Amino acid sequence: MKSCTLTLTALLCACASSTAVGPSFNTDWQNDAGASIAAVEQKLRGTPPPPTVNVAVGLTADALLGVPLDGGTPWKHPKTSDSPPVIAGDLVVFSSGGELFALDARTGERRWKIGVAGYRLRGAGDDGTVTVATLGQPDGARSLFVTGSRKGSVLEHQQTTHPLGRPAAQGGVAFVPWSGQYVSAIDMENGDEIGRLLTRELTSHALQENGELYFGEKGVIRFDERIKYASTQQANRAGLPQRELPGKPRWLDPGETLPELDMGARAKTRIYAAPRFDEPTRFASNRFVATYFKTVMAFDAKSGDLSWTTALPSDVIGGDAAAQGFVLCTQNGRLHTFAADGSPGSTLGFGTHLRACVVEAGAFVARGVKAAEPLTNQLERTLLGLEPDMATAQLFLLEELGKLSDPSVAKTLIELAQNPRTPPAVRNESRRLLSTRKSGAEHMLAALEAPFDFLSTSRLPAPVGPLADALAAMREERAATLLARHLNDPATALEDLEPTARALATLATPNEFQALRTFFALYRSTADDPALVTAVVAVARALLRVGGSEGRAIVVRAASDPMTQPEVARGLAALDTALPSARAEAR
Amino acid sequence: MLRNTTWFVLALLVSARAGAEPPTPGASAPKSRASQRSALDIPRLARVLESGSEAEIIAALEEIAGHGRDGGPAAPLVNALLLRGGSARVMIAAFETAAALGKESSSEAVAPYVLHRRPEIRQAAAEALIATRGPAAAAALRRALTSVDPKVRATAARGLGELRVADAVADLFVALGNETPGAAGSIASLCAPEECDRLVGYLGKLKFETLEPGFVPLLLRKELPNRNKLLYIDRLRRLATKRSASVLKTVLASLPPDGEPKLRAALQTALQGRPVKVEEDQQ
Repeated sequence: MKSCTLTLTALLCACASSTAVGPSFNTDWQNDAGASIAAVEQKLRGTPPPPTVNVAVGLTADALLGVPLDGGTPWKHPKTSDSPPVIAGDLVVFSSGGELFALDARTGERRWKIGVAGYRLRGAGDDGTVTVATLGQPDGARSLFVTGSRKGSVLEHQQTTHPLGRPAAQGGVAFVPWSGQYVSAIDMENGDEIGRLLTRELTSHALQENGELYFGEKGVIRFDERIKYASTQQANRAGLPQRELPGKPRWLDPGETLPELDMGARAKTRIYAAPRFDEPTRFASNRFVATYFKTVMAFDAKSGDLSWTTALPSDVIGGDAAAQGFVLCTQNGRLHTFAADGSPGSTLGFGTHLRACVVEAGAFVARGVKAAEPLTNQLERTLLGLEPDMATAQLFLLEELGKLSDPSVAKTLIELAQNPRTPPAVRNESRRLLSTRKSGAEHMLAALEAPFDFLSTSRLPAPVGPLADALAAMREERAATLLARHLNDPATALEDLEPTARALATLATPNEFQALRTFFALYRSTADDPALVTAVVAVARALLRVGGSEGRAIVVRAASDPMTQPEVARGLAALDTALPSARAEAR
Repeated sequence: MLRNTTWFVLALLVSARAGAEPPTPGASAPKSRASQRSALDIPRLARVLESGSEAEIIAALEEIAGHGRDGGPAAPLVNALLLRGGSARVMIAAFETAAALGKESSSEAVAPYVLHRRPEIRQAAAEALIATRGPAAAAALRRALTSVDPKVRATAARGLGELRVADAVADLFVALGNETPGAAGSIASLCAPEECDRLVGYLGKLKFETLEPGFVPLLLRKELPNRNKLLYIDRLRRLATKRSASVLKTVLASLPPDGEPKLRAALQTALQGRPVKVEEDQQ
């Protein structure tokens, strides 16, 4: 009944309005080629931006906690929220039990509350005087648009069946995205729609960043003198480069859905970025950060190249791009700051585990307390620091590691291949990348040289096959003796034998003759696996190359010995360029 | 023809080395009946072993093995066969033959097979090394202590004791920590007093059945001071289990009737459940 009354009131208000657009959210509106929104932009140009507070707000089971990023006193408000709170200007807005609350973001003190029975908060904005909020019903049937003064009086209260997005406010005007393509500019005092933006890309968010307004979802267009060209896709736009990232994180969630208090994967796989048109890439710090649970990855906002990475001790559940750098909030209630180049800065804490966390850092400058490590080191530390259930992130970071030419990459790949906690998919990929390395021979030789005793170590044997492939491609003759030793070591995996033997066919010197002869004797008749057969034939090739007349005699004799395994014998016979001359020499 | 000659020359070279070997324990064993019946026809056996016929080679190897330690002249032929390699059946027969001949020169030819990927081959090779003895056997068995194959590890542990490789005790302790059968017995037969203390110190830390094979040889070691033995007896008494009492009874029954009075008294005291006193000056 109350709802009907409110709707009627809204309709009456809307009908009474006489604006360039007509009643709020009306669908009879005709595209005005940007005229009305351009007029609003012109009217608001020069309006002072709303106040902002750099603050992180955490949600526990029974309270909202605030931590000012600039060093103010942390606060606690003894009421919890039924949806993620929103930091709007200098307020923290949240809904709970059919009421909408606003707290002072600096102190946590309550500013006002209004009744919103049946609705939960979707988004909010504030221009320093008036607050705008959009709310939704859990079943998604209706949306509610409200504006309220600092004293808690409701200025505007409209229900609609149109899905409303996340609003923003500036200079007494609320900007409300809806139906995926419109942004209504609504006078917050009287509810009149004074302008409308038609966009040609999905728009469900209005963002207030660093005194500028932006609209969008996948990318954003700026509310500036070119906004009138938005319907012809000629507005000023900022978008993040397309990259396939672990967990397929999103920057802006679909703004017309009701945000949930989500402790699952969606909350932990996010992109944090802030449009900033005075930067070359049009994004603050020229970077964006993607999270995948504990993994943090920063990318160049234009090229999409990995810029820096780290692994945090707990899952990231919230954050924001700062004016410079990033602030990330983890489930264990810690706030981690990073300078734009990834150097870690100070950490703050809520002192408790959190159910949700939102951060406003638009005016915050994060400074590193120590210099950022080279990317290779960061990748190594992150890869090795992640738990085995983070294989998706590890595979992604491995791919990035593989792009680097630093010799130490080989060391990291070896470590991953030998670490028993490395997930199989990551180990296999480490091995694959290792086999293609063109640098890091010293690390590879050291890995081959290290003795392996499975009784005394929990580590896996060295990835001999990939090392053999890489060292053979590098023509690294120092590897020959070590590879020959591994050839006769049963700890060397069967799959590694073939590349090891193949490498020895290239790298072996007369010094390896004994080891080659031993392997040949042990397996020419007992090879019971295709990999072993291929290895024996490759060793025969090495014997022919480095064994002189004795080596040739061994191979020639084996080729005609009935005890030689038939497939090996065929392989030896196929060494047709070597064997005839070898036979002749043997004669 | 040249092929046969090459291998024959190789066999002769190895044979020359074999001829220079010092006598090994058991080398003066009585001649077998087979050797008394007929001498080995070395040229014929050489031809057969190079024939490539699995059945004929195995028969020839059995013939050589039948001569036991008197078959020494054929050892170079067996070694040459091992150097060439062959089927699993032939190699296992060759190991058995090498073991029967007991020639130290065979150890080098057998040793690489302890690392073979086929379990039956590496296990047979490890057994053969205990019989062929010598530094090459000892080195191969030490390496085999870390084999992925528990049977090879157990054989290696036992073999190092039998070959009295005293400097392998540290490796044997590593094997013991991994509950390798045979390690306790070998340590007990090789250990210096402080190493023996360390072995007994594992009581309560490792399974008793892992350590048990070491106690009887340890307590019967003549060169070990009585003071150590009495301490060990009392340590076993304190376990107060049937198995520990059984060890003490076995040792008591194994003592010479008219020797080791202090040890005998200590064992009897322990078996009555009373503490064994160890005097400071007791040696």
